[in-house]
This record gives sequence, C-alpha cells and structure tokens, in this order.
Amino acid sequence: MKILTLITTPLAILAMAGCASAPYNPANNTAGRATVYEDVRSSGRVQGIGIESQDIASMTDKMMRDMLANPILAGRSPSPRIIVDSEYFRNESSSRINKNLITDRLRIDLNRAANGRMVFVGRHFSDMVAKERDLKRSGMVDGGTIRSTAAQAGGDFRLGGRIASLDALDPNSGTQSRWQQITFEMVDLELGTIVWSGIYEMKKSAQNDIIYR
Amino acid sequence: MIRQLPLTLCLCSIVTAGCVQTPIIEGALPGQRISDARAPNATMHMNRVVIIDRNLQTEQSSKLAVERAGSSSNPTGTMKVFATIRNRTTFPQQIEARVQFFDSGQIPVEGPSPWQRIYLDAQSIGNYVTSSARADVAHYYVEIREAR
Repeated sequence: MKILTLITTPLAILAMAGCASAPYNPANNTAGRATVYEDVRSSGRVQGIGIESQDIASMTDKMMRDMLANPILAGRSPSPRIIVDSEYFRNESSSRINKNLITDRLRIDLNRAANGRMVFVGRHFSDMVAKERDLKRSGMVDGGTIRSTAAQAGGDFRLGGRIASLDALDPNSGTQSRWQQITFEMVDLELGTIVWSGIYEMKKSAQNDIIYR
Repeated sequence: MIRQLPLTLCLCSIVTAGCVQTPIIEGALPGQRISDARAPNATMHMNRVVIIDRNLQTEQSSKLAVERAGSSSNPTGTMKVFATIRNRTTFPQQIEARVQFFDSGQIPVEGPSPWQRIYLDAQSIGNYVTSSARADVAHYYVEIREAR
C-alpha cells in the first residue's frame, strides 16, 4: 500500500497540473471611446455627394503610386524637375472644393516618397525666392551658405487636370446624384506632350442636405 | 495504508491550490502577442490578403473569395500588388482594400494606404491593384473590408 501511495500522489499532482493549461486571452471586442476625431481615410458621420476627405486621400494616393511606377517620371537620370500645383488644375464641377487640398497633398506625398527620384519646383513660392534673390544681389543680405545660381529652376513636367461632374436630381424624392471625374495629366514643358495620365471617378447619390464650405 | 491515500490526495490538492496566486494588476500592461494553436489567424502573415470584416467572412461562411493574389516588380523597382476577388453572392457588393508594405526585415516602410473602393457585380470578379511608393519593399499585407 505504501507503494500505491507513492504512485498515486505524483499522478494526482500531474493530473492537476495538466488541467492548468495556458488560458486563451479573448479580445475585448467592444467599441472604443467616443471622440470627435474621425479617420480622414474613411467616410465620416457627415456624408454628402461632394468630394470628401476620403476621396482626396484615396485619389492622391492612387496617382502618387502610379506616377512612381512610371519610368518616364520616376526612372530618369538626372531626376526630372516637376511642378505640381493648382495653377492648371481646374474645377469645372458643381462641387465646392479647394483645389489645393488635392494638389498640395499629391505634391507632398510624391516628394516624400520619391526620395530624389523626382525634384519638385516650388513655383507657387517663386515670388518668395525672387525677393530673397534680389536682397542677396543688392547686397542687403549676404549670399547664404548653399550656392548661387543664374536663375530659379525651370520645370520639365507640370501637372494639369480637371474636376468635372454630371448631376442628376429626382424632384419627387429630392435625391441627387453626382458623377465626378478627376483627371490628372503630366505635361512635358518643352514639347507639350502628355507623358502620364491618371483618372479617378466616383458616383454618389443621396438626399443632398449636406453643405460643403 | 489505504487510509492514508485520501489524506495524501487531499494534502496534495491543498498544496497545488496554494500555488495559484491571484495576480496583482498594477502599472502599464505590455502589448500582447497572441500565440495560441487554437487561434492560428491571431497573428499576421506576410504576403497575404485578409478579410477583416465579419460581415464579409466568418469561420462558417463568406461573401467573397480571394481567387488570386501576388506581387511583381514595376520598371522603377517599386512593388506591384494585385488581388482578384470574387463576389460569391447574387447581390452587388462594394468593398474597400488597402495595403501595407514591409521591408525584408518585416519592418513597416509604408502605409497603410487609403482605402480603395472596389465594385463587385453579382457573381463577378474585381481587382485590387496598387504599387508601393518605395523600392525597398519585400512584403505586402492587403486588408479588405465592406465599403462604408
């Protein structure tokens, strides 16, 4: 019987230890804390048929990736000088939008991702540069530490584009639909040829009771 | 000796129970990594298309099938990723996809990208195609959810 005790005791301990397996930690699958902030890349609580933050984030990201995959723009040596601003990017649609939201985001995303594969000319800052150059050349200020050049940088390619729309209204229900087409084109600034094109389109319909400002 | 057996077992249980101490919750909690054979999808697998929306797919049923997925190189050295998704339902579906890119050390180098909307007609296929912005990319991870 002493032998029986010696056998059963360790067995009992082993059996109990076997039951104590590592617990599975399930997710606390509940909603997060309420906040006024929203993800700019997703539809928000206030939605209409106009161009919204998720559309701008999506279209600029798509164009940026497409341009960086294009060897004419991103595979040249030396890197091409590119102008991306809203000067030749026109809004002909019925949507109220600040075009700079699109062109600024596109330029900044491209510049950050290109990492030298494209060089961006800040043509919208040209008057700022001209003033400083005048001050330097008049002797009012010294020449700075970088270098001096004969002129500001000229561009090789420049962004042009258009926002267009087609609206439809059901007077019975008040439902409005808007098809919007945003085109992006990169133009050779010597030849005038279009070396790259991109298009982004969307159609939304809703009771148009949202006011865009 | 037979009389000693229940006593031994009882003592053994008490000793074992005494070892189970209630943990004290204090201080910041480290982030968890779930590694459990019973939850094989609880970890992230590189170069995969995943459906993150339970409205689209559960363990028992799914509205979508990921028919093809893969990557190739663009002429500029960036990575092109594609996924072909089939709508298994007889209803049109709108889904959204996004990608994150990682380098050879599985360090995130880009993303997540904004959601791109994909329109799927009933029983039809749709494609998600995108490219990385950088050339030093080795892995991708595509997420799909129901459009909102």
